[in-house]
Amino acid sequence: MKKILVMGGEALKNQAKGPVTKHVLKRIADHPPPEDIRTIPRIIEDRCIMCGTCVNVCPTHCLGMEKDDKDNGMIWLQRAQCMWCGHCQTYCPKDAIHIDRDPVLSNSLFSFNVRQDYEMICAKGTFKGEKADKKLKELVEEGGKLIEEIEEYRS
Amino acid sequence: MTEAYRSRFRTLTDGSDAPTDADHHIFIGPQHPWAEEPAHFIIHVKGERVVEADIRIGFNLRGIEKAMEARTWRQNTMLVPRACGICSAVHQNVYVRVVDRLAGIEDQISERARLIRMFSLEAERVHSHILWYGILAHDAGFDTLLHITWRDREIIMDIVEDFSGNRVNPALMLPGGVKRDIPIDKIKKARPRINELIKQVEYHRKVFTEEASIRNRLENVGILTKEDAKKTTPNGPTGRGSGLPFDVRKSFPYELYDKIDWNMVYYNEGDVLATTLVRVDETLESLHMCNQILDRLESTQGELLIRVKPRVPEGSYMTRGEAPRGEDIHYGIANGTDKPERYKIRAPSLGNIDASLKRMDGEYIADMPVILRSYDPCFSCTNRVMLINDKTGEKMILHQDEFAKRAIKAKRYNRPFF
Repeated sequence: MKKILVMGGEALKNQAKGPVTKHVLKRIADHPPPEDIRTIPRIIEDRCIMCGTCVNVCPTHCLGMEKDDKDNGMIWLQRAQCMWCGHCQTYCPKDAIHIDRDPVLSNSLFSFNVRQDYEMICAKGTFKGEKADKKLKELVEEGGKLIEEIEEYRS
Repeated sequence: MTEAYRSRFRTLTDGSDAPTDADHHIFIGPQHPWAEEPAHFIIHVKGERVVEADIRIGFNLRGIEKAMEARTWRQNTMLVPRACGICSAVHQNVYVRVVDRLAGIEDQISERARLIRMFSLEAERVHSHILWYGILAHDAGFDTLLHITWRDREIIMDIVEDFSGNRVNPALMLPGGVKRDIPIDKIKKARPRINELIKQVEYHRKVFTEEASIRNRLENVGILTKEDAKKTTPNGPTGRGSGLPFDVRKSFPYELYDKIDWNMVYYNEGDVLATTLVRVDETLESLHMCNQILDRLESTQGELLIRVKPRVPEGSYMTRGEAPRGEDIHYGIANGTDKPERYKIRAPSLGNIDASLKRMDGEYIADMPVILRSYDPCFSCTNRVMLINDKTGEKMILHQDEFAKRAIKAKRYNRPFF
């Protein structure tokens, strides 16, 4: 059963409505991205215990960890390399990573001129010694979700 | 195979391999406005009719399988969905099921986690099919439908973004369960929108079945009979349009597909319109499944994620899933460490190429865009490194430097690659 002008009604409606692009800005304002959209991770320094789990599970190697002689560690993030998978947040034993809801992406992601933008220091802290043991003890007492895993990575 | 069978994956560049009764050869691609992805079609025509068509793929090798061997099983969970731009969730789902089986926790995954996985798969099928038949309408010269379908596709994209935090890469699945929960307020927000989309897809179906300008372009074009389909073994909607009632979800149910009420769609006509209607009907079927899954999610409770050790015990497992384009096969070998020994992906488009080249025989050249589109080409996920000398049957695996060296020499001194 073939007919012609099945979409005539739709066409007339669109004629009366005017261009859709006129309302684009309003539509974007009406539909903000969801609260838990996945973008760049950020580490909450107070909670980080420098276990290195996030560095180990990152698929793109955008998270890195530097250690010095004095058992001090530093986690940094290459923003341009991150693919926003949220793996680090999932596997973090201490819930120390939260994913930013950052609408301004074009400025920060693709401006490679500024080194600060490209490599971002996420967290500093000790990964061994008294301070770290104290943090780990707190975590065990708290009943963190993935305690066994930390022991695997903390070698 | 019969004597008349001739591999469609080769045509010599000097044309000596071409069929004798063709008088012109039309080359499409690798870069062509029609195609989103690189593929090279060689169409041998006599007058305005196609005699035969050949294909060359392999212009976009990304080496995902090799990259997977250098990463841990956990990291690969996020690398695997990048094998395809559209059907990312199904690749991840099949991968996750491989790891689940290898780690021996397949039975412990809760019903809720399985339901969330299924929602992700079905939502992906919906947006992939809507995207595809929008582009098909564009290829047939019916751009109004393209704009309307893609406008409506945004509804399901917004739902996926709301549930997972990303539009096309939901990445909800992990070995041992799922990453995120779908809370009840999000379900309540999504349900009216799904019903709205069902109405819109029914409207698209009405346009495809009734509107003369698109039906004339698709009906009785590129007929693939059931006998030809059995020889060329298409899978997915391409096969179901030609009367092969095969769906991995029905035949070999995984997740909870056997516990949900749904019908397999198939048509016997075998033309491009039948393939299209399979996909439109499947979209409706998937949307009804989405509603069922959301109903069950409200009443089901369970643990979302079970702990899987980073080191996967030794073993190998092959499994498959129904991607929007066909049958997706994954084969993983674990050697007891935290990295895979070997991982093989057979993307669905590869199985459909031969069937849709068969479709072109004897058709008009003007129908080529529609027929080429009919199997939802997705080559970049198909391309893998495997060099086979078709004269001697020799198989080679080359690394990048040697491959480049041989290719440059072959070009410069005009000698065969092998």
